Amino acid sequence: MDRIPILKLGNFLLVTIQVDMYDQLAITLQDDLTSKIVQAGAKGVLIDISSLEVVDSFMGRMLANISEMTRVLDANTVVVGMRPAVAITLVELGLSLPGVQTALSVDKGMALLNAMREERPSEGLRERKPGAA
Amino acid sequence: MRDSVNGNLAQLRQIAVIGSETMAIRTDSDIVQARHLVRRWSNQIQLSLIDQTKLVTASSELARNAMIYGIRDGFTTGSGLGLGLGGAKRLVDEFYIDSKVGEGTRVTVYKWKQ
Repeated sequence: MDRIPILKLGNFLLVTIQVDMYDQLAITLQDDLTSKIVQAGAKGVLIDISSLEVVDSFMGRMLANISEMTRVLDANTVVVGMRPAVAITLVELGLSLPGVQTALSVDKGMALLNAMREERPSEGLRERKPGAA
Repeated sequence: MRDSVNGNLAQLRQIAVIGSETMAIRTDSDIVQARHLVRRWSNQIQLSLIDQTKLVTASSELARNAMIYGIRDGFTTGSGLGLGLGGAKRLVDEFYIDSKVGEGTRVTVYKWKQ
């Protein structure tokens, strides 16, 4: 079965999607990523979608799911490199991905992951929203 | 029946049909192929990049809908795996759905070149 490679880079996992996404591949990526976060104790996931010419609602939802799952697993996800035409299409489609952090480039995405990590120390009990009861 | 509806629309709008292609949607890799097919045609008629992306994305939604449910009447979002027909409708200029009991459902979408 096809798989999208997941690279470990320090505390972070790096995923570069360079093939046409079909549904099963997206589901496999979601499963692989969640196991790998736990296994590697990763604190962040960076997903580069700059090669993707199309992100439809299935793929969009998968990105949202991955973001949500990594958050539950005490890590952050940043999606980088979305093409402008893809962004316009996603919003018109009705999928603005409210829970998904994005950055324009891999560099900026890495900086964002580092910044989020500092804001969110892993020790102690945390609420999802700081200050919430 | 199908040809008569197509004929009427073409006559009404004076659409120049430059070609046609048919493919079956059975698996998720067929959805990828459907995207390629629509991309190729959109490219050929030189749709803008944004309109190409919208039309290809709409085709992806429609193809997935066809694969999972067979195309259903109405705008179901099904089990939440896609935005279904409603999502596709938002990305095109015109959207028609035509269901006949015992025959099936046809969805017709138009994206006009700017």
